[in-house]
Amino acid sequence: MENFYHHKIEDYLLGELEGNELIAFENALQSDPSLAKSVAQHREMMQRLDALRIRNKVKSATAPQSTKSVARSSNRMLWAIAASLTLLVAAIWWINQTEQTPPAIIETQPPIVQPDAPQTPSEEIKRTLPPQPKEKAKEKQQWVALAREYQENPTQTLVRDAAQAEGDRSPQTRSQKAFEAFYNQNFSLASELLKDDKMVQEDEVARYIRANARFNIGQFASAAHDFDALEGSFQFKHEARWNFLLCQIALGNMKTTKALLAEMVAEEDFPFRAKALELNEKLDGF
Amino acid sequence: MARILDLFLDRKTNRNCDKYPNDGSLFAGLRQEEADAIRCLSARVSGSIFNIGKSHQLADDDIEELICDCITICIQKIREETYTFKGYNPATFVIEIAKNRARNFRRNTLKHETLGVEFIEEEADEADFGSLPETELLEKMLAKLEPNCQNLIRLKYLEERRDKAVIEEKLTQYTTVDALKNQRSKCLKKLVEIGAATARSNQ
Repeated sequence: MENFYHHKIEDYLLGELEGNELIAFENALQSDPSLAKSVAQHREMMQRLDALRIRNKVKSATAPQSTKSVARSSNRMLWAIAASLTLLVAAIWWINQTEQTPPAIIETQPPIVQPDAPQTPSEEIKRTLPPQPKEKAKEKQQWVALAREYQENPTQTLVRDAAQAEGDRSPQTRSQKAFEAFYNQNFSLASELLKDDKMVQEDEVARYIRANARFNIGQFASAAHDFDALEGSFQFKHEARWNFLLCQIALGNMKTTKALLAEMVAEEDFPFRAKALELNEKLDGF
Repeated sequence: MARILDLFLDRKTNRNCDKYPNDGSLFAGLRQEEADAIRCLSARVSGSIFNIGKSHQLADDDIEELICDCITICIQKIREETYTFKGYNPATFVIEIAKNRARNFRRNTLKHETLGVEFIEEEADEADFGSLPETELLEKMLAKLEPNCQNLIRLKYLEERRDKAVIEEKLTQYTTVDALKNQRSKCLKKLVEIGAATARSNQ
């Protein structure tokens, strides 16, 4: 008889005993201490199993938000400040450099990036068209500076998460190396590593990062090409549209710029409308 | 602060909370163990627990486990109805669990590092079957069962498969629900015995 009840413990704890069976079991529970002890042990084990199940569920639900992302979320401000300062210093240096050697380029074709020879703005300057008057070069610099001022770069979180998408254990893919390079502000390397169009055809994050890398190293035409390709992207369509406009400014295509800007200003729900209005005013002042 | 940063720098973190416009709906989502509710709660508590963990000098990996432990305990308590909704954000409850657990975690570390622990006041742990050490211990116990028993227990208790579906999908060697239940009952009994033996050996 003892065995009979012991075999019913699971049913009892799962609430699957009914009627006379339940009454008989509860009576046995009152009179049999070993059965009561066994029921308590089973209950505890089922609580343990349930806790393990819930923990697995929590783990799988929060898997993308790993510790590193938690740590990152608290360190993001520091990263953002550090990145801003680095960009500011780089921009000042670049402006000083370009003032010393006036650039005279208007990029008209996507540049062909040679392997192991990432292009820098100064290298791009070498591929110049016939020299332009100094005033025109200065105007060009102003357009570029304005475009850079309003650029929407990918968030550090996006880039870092993309770099670690496969986890820390597996070897890094070429894309991940590129994302890491971008994260470390090595835009030339990031652009170089992602130069193969096949790498970005099916990967919007990669294309978006490549576009921004190209923008950051002054390859505005090729950046515009990538931003244009992201026009239909669910995730990046607004940022890509905005940055495409900035590429047009940097390229000095003012007619296109004004047309695009007018569209953005007219769209009440465009996320960058406030910026578009501000930029519109600035352009009027030029 | 961390949450403000989340909002400022990564708005996507809180997108899972769109489904839960108030504390009551989040609580209900947690009771149903909805993945979005878990993610929303995680997004709301991660920053604070990270800071708590850091203030108790926990490593990043330990903080990750701490977040997971606390959310698990919260859901367990909701299931057991020892935590009922009283109009407060479940995140507040989870953060309180985290504070307590971080203190205990640090204390346990100190016990191993120093001898001068007599001044550290003891404080009862939360019921922690959902904590990492406990779940690892249970996994070890499960591993001691024969594969058939492991399978039966996992299907029922970890994957929540219905007995009828298990038979229909031929996930085991058993062809009737009664045979399945009978065997699983024996397996559970074995697991309980393993658990009792483990507890004795740990004393």
